[in-house]
Amino acid sequence: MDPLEERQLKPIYAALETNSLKSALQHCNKLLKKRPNWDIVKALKALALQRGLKTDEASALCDEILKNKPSDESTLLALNLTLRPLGRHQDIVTLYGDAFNRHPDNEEIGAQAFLAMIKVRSWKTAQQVGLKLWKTVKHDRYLYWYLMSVTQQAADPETPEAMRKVLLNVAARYLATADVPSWVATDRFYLHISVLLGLDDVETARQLIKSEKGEDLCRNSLALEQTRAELAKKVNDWEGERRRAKGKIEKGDYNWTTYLALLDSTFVAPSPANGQAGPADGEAEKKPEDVDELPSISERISEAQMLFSKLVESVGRKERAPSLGLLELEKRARVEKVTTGSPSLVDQARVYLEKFSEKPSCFEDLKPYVEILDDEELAKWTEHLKSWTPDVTTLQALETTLNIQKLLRYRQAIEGDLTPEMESEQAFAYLKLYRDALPLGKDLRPVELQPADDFAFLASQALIGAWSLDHQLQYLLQAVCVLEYALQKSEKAYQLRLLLICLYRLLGASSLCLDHYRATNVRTVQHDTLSWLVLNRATTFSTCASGDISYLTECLEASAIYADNWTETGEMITKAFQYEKYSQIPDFLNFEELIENSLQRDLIRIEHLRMTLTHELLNNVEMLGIPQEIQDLDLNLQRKSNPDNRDFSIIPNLQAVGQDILKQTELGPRSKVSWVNVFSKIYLRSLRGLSNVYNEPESFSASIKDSEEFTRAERAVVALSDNLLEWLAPIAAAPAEIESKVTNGHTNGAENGTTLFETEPTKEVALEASKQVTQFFDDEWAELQKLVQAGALPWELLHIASIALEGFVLVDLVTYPFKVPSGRAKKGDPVFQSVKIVRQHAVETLRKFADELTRLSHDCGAKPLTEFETLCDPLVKTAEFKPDFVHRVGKKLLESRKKMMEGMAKGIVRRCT
Amino acid sequence: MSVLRPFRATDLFRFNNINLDPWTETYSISFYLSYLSRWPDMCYVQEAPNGRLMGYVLGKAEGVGQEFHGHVTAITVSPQYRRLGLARGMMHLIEQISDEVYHAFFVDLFVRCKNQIAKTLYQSMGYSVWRRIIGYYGTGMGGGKDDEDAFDMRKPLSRDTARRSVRTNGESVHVSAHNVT
Repeated sequence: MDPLEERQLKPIYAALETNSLKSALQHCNKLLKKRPNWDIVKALKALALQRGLKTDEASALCDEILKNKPSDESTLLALNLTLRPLGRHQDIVTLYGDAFNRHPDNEEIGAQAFLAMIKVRSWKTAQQVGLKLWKTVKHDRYLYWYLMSVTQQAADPETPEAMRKVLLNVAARYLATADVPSWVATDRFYLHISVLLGLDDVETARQLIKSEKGEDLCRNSLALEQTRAELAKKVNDWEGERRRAKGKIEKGDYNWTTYLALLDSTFVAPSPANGQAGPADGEAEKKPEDVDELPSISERISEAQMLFSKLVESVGRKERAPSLGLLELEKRARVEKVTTGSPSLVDQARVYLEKFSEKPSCFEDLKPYVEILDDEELAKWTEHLKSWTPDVTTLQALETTLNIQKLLRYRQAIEGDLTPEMESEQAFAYLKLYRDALPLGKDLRPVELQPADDFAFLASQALIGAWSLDHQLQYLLQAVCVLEYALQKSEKAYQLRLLLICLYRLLGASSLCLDHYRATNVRTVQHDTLSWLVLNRATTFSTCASGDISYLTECLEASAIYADNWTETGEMITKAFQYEKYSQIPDFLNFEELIENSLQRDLIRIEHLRMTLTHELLNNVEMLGIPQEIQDLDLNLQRKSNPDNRDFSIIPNLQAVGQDILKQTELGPRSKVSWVNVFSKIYLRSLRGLSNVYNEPESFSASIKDSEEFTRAERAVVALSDNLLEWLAPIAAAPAEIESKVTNGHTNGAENGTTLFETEPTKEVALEASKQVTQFFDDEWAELQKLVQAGALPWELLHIASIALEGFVLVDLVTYPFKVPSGRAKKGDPVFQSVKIVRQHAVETLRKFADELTRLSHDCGAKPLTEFETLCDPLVKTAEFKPDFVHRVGKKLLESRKKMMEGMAKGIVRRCT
Repeated sequence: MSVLRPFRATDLFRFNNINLDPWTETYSISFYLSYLSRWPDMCYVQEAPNGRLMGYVLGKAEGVGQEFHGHVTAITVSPQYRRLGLARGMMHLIEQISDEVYHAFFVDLFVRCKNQIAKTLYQSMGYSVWRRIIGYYGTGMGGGKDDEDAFDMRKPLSRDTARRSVRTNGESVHVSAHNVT
């Protein structure tokens, strides 16, 4: 670029730098007046437009420039910066690919082309560019960029086997003849080994890793050390691994990985193929010469046992690994039916408990061993636990008591003889310990965790346990009070808060759920793993239809991470290439895809759509962004995988073995891929119907017959969707008309000149077909009455009401194009009349729902508050809760529920008008 | 007893039990991945045998000349797994890598002046206060000046033969947070 041009562009760059977009655009327009086809100015203008969120204009301008196939670095950079946020990655690939072809010696353009190709996973072109870069620029980095893309292409299931081999062989040859050996950098070495492993060349890989340099690298890289161990196992070098692990443990390595290596090689079963020990899948067949024979299993067990016992003596309470090593040894010996001559598992567990009972992790450490105790052992173990007198006078005694109580609870009898009364009694015993232990944390600030928290957690779980046995509301309400009380003392105890959210959902106190959820301060990637806490079946609690969009907003906030992932992770993949951290790249790529295709993302998307459609009336159809929704739903259905990243372990389960606190408190069965798919399809066809696009009849009810992911009401709404289609099939657009493109908003087929009526059904036929549709509303109404009578939980009532409303929305969507007669469709037409009748029936039934919810909302006044206080009275009488506190909790809960019920009632009326 | 292994990107899906603790921040994806993309050998997790994450450390190597050092950006252990020596195990590894791989002069970390337990722990591991950073933690959690300021604690490595990263009057050397990266 000549200096004059540079001077002319300077003000544009300066304006962009300070984000003065208006000024940038003015400068661009001024220059373009004189020289309309100046690419760099056009590209900078596009960038300014994009930053000003004028994406359509920016995109159109980019198209113009792309046609010219620019190749100067400044234009490329400006276009790259514009196209990236527009999501036009393929265009960036083409742009840089073409430019690099024209300037094969330009390193910057080549590198950008390569990185753009990585973004769209175009491994084939990336490896070609990488290789070309290496050959022209002669920088080793590009050899490894090429190798990285080769391993990725080879790992792609779509690459044919023969091609895979060729690619990796060529890569291995380049590595073998490279001037600079791979061991100069750990990550290059790692990639070298990956190439060899791709070729199954275990021998060369082992030679490399066992070399002096290789051993050196392994010593300071846990990642490489892991690869080394896997390689050793591949050739059945169990004896080598056993000795190595033994040596490391003797030298004071307490990493459990090393202990596991010793335990695995101690118990490995001999492989019949070669007399050597080997993995069960018989993967390894050859026995290299440097592999030693394993001693007999009894010898190996005895050696491990001696080593662990010796260490147990020497390390005392400082390290748990040797003690747990002994327990694990005993557990495995039991599986293998080998006698070790050690004390029994119960005795060893007792020793462990005595030694480490003051560590908060003791319960979790012992769980796998306590789990396998038989009846006789269990009796002995329980007797031992019961012999400890609970003591919470010191922090150490508190930890011990907590561990003992958790262990006792874990293996308590659950079948048959556990009654709600026993669970409740247990809860009050925990509460007594909780109150006695509270003084230990009296000087702590509210932001610090109270040492006694877990007793309250145990108490609430025991109360929930009692409730799950006989469904008496008192237990659930008491659990709420206990959690609220403990949170007052320890406001950052997230486990208590998250469990409380689950209870408030069951009890229909939706605004409190959101308040507590927001108090946990969930951020960035946690939205993907934790938003299920409030967004799972969120439509149940949405009062969107009455104008309260808090759940809709939560959906949007939670979804921001998916856009962030696309830019941030992509950026970091580029960085990993630049810093040559090849070991990270497969992980980053995987991470990016796990979030991109996340099941939770799709679950949120569907909840958002369900709520939006109750919020917006269809005469506001433009507000709905139908084409975008159709595109998104299509995306849901096109995913090759739908990984479930939700973190369900975040609420620790302190129930007895076989019981699960989450299952006890979840709203219906857990929704997964099948749920997402069916709801995506339902809305897809309904929205397409709205746009008058023909839908192939398909029964979704049949497809979910065996799925366990749906509630009864959800199954009913799925069936409704099927029935709607069947009812309106005679008047829906015929397949020939599907050519008409989906437009923004609804277009009546008749207005388009298409034929609505293939046949002319009579009024009777149309009404008969609509019967099942009207039946849905009657059934749900009957179900609601049944549940109200049975004293069901508020969430169950809200669920039925929200599903009934969803049913109306589906009817509305599908019948909307036929609502107003036009064209050939005459007022007196039987199908139009049946539409009118069905809509009228749905509206009338929904009105009854609204009236019932309004009536129920009145039940949240003073009388129920007194009832709440009575049900929680045991807490006041036995656990020293202040009546005032219980009153406040009850009031808050009932107010929140009242708001919820009223909101839904109002919303139904508004939406069905 | 725990598995000490490299921090992986997918651990971000599983660190909630650690990060919901009031003293541990959750940052953007770029924050974690920027460490992994540059210093993967300075990032580790401790994992329980049942697969639950117990704690993690994120570190980096930075500085020029004799200031080249390993820095512990974040080290955290879930309350459930404290007092097991996990932090010590992770620190030891960071020191080993800083010494043997990066040949750094020292390792340093910042600790809230108020956090006496942590300060004592690091002192027992060979760290000493190098300086006090004023206002490093912003407004803190309502615990006054000691809650807002940080101690920069340093431990010399084998390359620091003259022990230049140790001084006795570190607590009285004050610097503003603006002058610290």
